[in-house]
Amino acid sequence: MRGRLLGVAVVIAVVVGGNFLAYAHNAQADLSAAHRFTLAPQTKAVTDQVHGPLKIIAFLNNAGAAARDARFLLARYHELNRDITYSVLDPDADPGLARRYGISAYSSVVLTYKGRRVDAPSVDELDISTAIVRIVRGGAKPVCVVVGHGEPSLDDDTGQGLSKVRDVLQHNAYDVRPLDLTVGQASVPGDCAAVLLLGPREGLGPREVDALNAYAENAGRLMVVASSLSTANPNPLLEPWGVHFLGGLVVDPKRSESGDPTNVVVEDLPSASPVDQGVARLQFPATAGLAVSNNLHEGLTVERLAVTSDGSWDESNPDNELQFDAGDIPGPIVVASASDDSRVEASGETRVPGGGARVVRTRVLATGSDTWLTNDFLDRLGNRRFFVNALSWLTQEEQLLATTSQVSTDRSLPLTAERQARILVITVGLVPGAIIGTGLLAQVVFRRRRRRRQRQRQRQRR
Amino acid sequence: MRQALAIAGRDLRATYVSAFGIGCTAAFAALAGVLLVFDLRGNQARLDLWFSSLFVALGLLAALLALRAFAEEERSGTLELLLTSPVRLWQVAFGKLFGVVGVLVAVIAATVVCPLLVANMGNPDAGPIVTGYVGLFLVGIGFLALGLAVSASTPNPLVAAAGTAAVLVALWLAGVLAGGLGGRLKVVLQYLSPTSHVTGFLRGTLAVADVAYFLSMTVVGVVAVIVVLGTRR
Repeated sequence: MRGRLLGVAVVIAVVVGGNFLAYAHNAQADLSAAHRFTLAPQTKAVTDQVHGPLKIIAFLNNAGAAARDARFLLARYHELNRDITYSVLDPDADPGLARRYGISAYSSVVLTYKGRRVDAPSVDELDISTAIVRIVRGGAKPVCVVVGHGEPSLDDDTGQGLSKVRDVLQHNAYDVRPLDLTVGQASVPGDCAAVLLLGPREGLGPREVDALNAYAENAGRLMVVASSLSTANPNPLLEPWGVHFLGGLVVDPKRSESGDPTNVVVEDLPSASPVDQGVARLQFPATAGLAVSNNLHEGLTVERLAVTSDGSWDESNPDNELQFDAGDIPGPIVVASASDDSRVEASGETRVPGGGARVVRTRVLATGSDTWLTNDFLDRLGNRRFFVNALSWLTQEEQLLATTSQVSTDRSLPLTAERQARILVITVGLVPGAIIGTGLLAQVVFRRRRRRRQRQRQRQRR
Repeated sequence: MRQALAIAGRDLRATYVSAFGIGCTAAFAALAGVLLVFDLRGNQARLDLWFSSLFVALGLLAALLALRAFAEEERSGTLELLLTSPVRLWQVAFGKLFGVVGVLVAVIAATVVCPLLVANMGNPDAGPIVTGYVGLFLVGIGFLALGLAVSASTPNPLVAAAGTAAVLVALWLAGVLAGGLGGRLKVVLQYLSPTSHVTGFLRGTLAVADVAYFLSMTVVGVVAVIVVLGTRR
């Protein structure tokens, strides 16, 4: 009895110890196509920085395959760090929770950690890991929004307002600060991580332009969202960075929505810039064109982020009939660009021979329309993702991970009536029928054999 | 080991000579087909939902097979013969386990036509199908071992089936309960729940912790059978 108890104790110790070791090492083999669930080493390093409950809530259509892939991916984060918990919810099934988090659309992801909140644009490894880095880092980066020129308001909840832009900024750990350069000293505070000029309706004064140019030249980060509906001329801000605002109105009969050729759908996003990453299409209604200079100074690069189709043109006289004629600029037309200027400047350091040089990097993002950012259009196509990417690029938060797995892959198989019938006939009819038939045959054979044996035994006894 | 295999062979033969074994296998194959249609309503050539449904079905199968294992043998009076015969308890325990594992293999084999059909119609990822079947086998053995332990401890077949179902539900509830807790207790309860160990099989990964968990469940079940039979011998 004692020996048996000892044996049981040894088995229990081995089982508990083995499971503890297996749990602690978290080793696994990934047999999925392209090793979709093998996370990057950087992701493991990122999750190691989480020291407290971090909750990830993904709002997705529960019936879709994306929700299942999201669960699989988020489970990997939980396996890497048990402080990370997750849930995948359907905003239609949990409207209360969705409203609490201000979620109005599918594919929204909210991360909460130590009272902070950061939103991720999608459930893929790059976005989730970047959001974790942001939320763990803490502290909100100040983003300054220029006011005083009739810009759409960040507090305006109507379709033409920018309240969704304000929410995006706040949910991505940015501290939104209004910047009025018309009063007091016209200078941009040094701690602004980026300055946003969101669709001014009236022109900026010379002092304001000078202040913004001085800020940009001193490693500034500027987002110029121009408006075709405005008299403001953004060119003094854009031209030093290789971009010219053409004005007019882009007409694209081939790629537009609702029969309105000025409600442009942009499908050509040719840049490898992180601003275009994960964005398939954009909706840019009432946009003007941009022209990229061919004569860029050394160190300046300009990416054409969004380009309209071959059949488009920039209408110079939109008040008349929309028809390509003399004075119009033929497509394709650039409607969004990203300028990146790196240059070496002397810092004034004289104590070190030949030293004291510093790299100054200016980034300017420009779009020919401001309508795409309004509440009516921010959630159309890839507009929201484009804006979040642009913010990250401007404030230099992109690419925390070099290569990441592509979790969701489309393996379409429409279940037609013919396919359903074929499956049911084979799996519910033929296979069980074959099993029962084989079983009955085996029973008959078995019984015959038994009877034969019994007869043989009886004969032997006689 | 020869004795264990002889016991397994006898049990397997008894199962498939009766309508019970044939009916179970045919019903499981038909159920797999119906579940496949439900899974494919998402219009995607993927089988993770199908496999997760089969894991639940395996729990029911374990309860059914537990019903017939020791408890049925005791009811018919053959258990006494087995325990008084010159075989060791571990040989009896492993023999019984191999017997039900034989049924498990037959039942799983009956479902193979489903992924073949999906592969014929679409382009599924082969990795999750392979890990899904590895999962079905490991989960099945673990559940069956627990079922045998419950069956060995009661002479009533219905109590054996209900007891097996109760143990599996209790393990599942451990994971649900863990959701509302914190600290180490949460981690332990989550680890004890099979639901937290099947995710990897469904997505196409084989984790050491998941394999270790179901093998441990099997070992615990077999040891429990040996202990219970030892007290009854």
